[in-house]
Amino acid sequence: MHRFIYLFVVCMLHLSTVAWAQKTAGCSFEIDGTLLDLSTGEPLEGASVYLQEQSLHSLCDEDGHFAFRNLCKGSYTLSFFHVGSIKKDTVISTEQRKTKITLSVPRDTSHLEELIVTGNLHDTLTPHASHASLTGINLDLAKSTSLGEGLKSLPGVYAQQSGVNTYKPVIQGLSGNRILIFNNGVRQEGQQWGTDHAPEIDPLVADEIQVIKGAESVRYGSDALGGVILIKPASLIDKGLKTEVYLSGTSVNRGGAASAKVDWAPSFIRKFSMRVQGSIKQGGNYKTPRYYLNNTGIREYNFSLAARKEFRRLSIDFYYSQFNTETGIFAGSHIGNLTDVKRALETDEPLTPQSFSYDIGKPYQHIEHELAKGELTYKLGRGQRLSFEVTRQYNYRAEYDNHRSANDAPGLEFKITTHTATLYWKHRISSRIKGDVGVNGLYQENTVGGRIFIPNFINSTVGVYWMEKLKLDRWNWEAGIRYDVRNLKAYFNKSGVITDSSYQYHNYSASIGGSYAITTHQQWNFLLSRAFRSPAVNELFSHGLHHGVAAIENGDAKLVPEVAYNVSTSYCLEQSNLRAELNVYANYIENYIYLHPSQELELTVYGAFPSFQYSQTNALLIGGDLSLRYDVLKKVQLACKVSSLSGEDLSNGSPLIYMPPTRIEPSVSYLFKNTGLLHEPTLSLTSTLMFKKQNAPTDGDYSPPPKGYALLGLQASTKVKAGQSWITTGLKVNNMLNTVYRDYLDRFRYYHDAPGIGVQLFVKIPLTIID
Amino acid sequence: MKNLTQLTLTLAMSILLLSCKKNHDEAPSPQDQNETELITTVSLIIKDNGILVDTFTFNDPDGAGGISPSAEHITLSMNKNYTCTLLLLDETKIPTDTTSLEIEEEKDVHQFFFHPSAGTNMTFAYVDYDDHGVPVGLQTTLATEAASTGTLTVVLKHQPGVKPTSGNGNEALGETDVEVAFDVTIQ
Repeated sequence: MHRFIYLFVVCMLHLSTVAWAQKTAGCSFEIDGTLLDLSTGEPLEGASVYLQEQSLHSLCDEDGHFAFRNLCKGSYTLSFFHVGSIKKDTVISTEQRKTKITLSVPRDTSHLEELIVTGNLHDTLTPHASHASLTGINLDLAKSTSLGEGLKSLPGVYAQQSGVNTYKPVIQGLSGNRILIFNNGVRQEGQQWGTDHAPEIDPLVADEIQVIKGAESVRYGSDALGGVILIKPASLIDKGLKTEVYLSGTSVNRGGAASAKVDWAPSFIRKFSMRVQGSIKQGGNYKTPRYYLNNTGIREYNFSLAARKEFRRLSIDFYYSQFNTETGIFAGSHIGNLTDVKRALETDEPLTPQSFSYDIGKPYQHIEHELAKGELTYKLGRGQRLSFEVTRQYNYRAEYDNHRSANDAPGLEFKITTHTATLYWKHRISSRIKGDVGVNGLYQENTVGGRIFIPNFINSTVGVYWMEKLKLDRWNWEAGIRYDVRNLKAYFNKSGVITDSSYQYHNYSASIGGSYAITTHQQWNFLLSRAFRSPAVNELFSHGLHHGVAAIENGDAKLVPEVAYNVSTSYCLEQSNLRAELNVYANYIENYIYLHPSQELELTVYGAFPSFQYSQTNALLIGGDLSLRYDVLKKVQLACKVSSLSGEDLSNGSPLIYMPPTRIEPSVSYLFKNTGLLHEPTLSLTSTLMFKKQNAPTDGDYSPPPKGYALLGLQASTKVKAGQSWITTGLKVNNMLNTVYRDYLDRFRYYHDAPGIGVQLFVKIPLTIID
Repeated sequence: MKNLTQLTLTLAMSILLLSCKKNHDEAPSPQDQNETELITTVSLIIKDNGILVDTFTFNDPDGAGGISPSAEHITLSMNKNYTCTLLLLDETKIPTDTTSLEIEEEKDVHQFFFHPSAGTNMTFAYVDYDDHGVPVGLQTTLATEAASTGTLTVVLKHQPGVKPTSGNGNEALGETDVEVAFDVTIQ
């Protein structure tokens, strides 16, 4: 109670200071500032600047500008807040009528894990749609693994696995086609419908990975029911010649990755910059605490090129990237039929002899993904620009399996080509209102070879969107709306007779969110949104045996789009030594598409298989994510993340399958003193407590959810001074106690344990050749 | 300088265009679903002293899903020594593909297994072997005893790289290419 009164008094005092500040607004001194990121020189859009003496806020616009008007002459303390930045106080005196300053703030990398995927505006610090992001050391560590696995460190984000190499992100219980992934601004178009199809993206290109929800997501597509993941490479440099080399190793599969990039802005071409980047990765068989996993090796090589040329108002951007991988699939998992699954379940260890090897044999997946993008941007004025973007993607996926086949052709083969065009206008109506209006189109052609599991199809989509952000004193509002029309035409060939069927889907998605600054240290956010997703091709037409999951899956051509209504609210507190964020959400999905297990087994020449029918129901997902950080004695930091959710099939009154179990992740970190040689040396002890999934449906699952588990990890990182630059290095020990466990969301838990103890090590060496 | 810019951009563009991977297949002309390999038919050809007694067939003409497969009832006389030959076909192909011939060619990576249900008085013995002397099972002898009823399950395992090179084989390894069950009466 005392505490409550105290808070109340503080709030009242606070309100009165604001009132006072407005009353004395008679003076005419001004502070105009620009806030930049110390390491990249990028403007810190969305950072909050707080003028302590007057309790005034200003938010940095996209050029990093902030301003305080009508000040009296005097000395002021400015505090800066930005997602991922250290709070920094600077004292400034207004000697002249107009004071101009430019400040560079270091980005803090050790705290970034702590953000929560909230429904909306993140905190006082960001007037953006909420986003959790992965940058710095945590991203560098994640890069040595796969994209999906790295994202698991964000609260509310989990991964659905098909073995050790295939991770698909799950955001607040939703995955696959309900999540959009944007690689360098381009919507990733591969074969995302498959649970054993990982996103075809090289995490090594990323400088930041963001997960966003909220009004901003209307820009990306209607079907972002779960959220949008943005893979963002670093901006191109303005001048000089710089390189960066990244090397990493992982002991659990004796793997390694190497990546290098060269950034060049030649002095003899005005306003031209470019980048060449490439990476290679190789790994062998994974080791679990008790045995190796045969045929789990991976080989990957990727490269990308980027170029940018600026004219007075016009700029041209090019981007090209290629992703190529050969991913082994644990041999014991590619089973023939139900008898084989039962046999695998009955044995504790895989039956095939296991040893270490880098060889990749059948079954394996060979995947190529190519992306090309061109963008023209015309600056119309301050905060206003018109952009036109065209992209082309080609995705090739070949799945080789061990089944009888007369030749060496893949058992399944998909080729999908996607073209998109987007025209958008970013505008600023006033200093308080800015927004984005755009139209985008997509044309996609997919062809299938081998066992025909899904038909060939041509898919075209046109969408228009409009979103605005409004800034009021203590409120930040965001609203967006989008309308999409999708045409789908599928082609079938039965013994030479070609038939086709056409479908059209159209609907709107919308979102409105607000963020209210309760005090300078507390914020409340809410978000209401509606999204829709039309059925994917596999949901409509898949027909027959899905060998990868040992089930017969039958589509339903009469499926209608899913419509999701999402409401979420979050509370965020940030004080000098405490940071807390709680987000709760409810997601009601009408006509939720899922695989409904049939009671009877279907007989084939391969034996009996459980059979599943794509069906629709009304589903409700309710959950919460909590993130806490408490600094004890400045040097010791305690942190904890909690994520929990429940998914219910309302029509059938049963729980939804494959919803992530409750997860608690406490950690303790020690921040060592900076020395001349070391910057931010940190040592952390991390842990993951995964509970057993309760109330999981037994239909459609070959074995009950595995028991809960606890994992211990260790992480150490620092920056080391080398000449003029800082080398970043980090080390992480996963599953330190070599615990034997299996994860509920891993489809391969039927066949083998999860990997055992493993050490990850990385070093990132930047080198400036020409400044 | 402007020329150089243009040159760089043109060069970049041409690299992009040249390196583009293309799909030469067209969506409106899909591949025939039946082009992939399928086993539609598994027949047990039963002979007595070289004289054909009967043929029992499991048949699934349209592959997994769709029309349910059918399996003929196996009826045999008691206390006999038969020979059993397996014939596997893909009848979706024109002409019909004889899968059992391919299995014979790839016998080092294949093996059949026979499982009469408990109380079904029939015993199979291998008579054909691969290059390592491990049984294959396309040819077997089938001995019947007292009158009984039950089921017989015939399994074909595809075991590339894992088929044992000595002994009598291991059914637990590899992938199942065939697993069909017949009702059996021995009278």
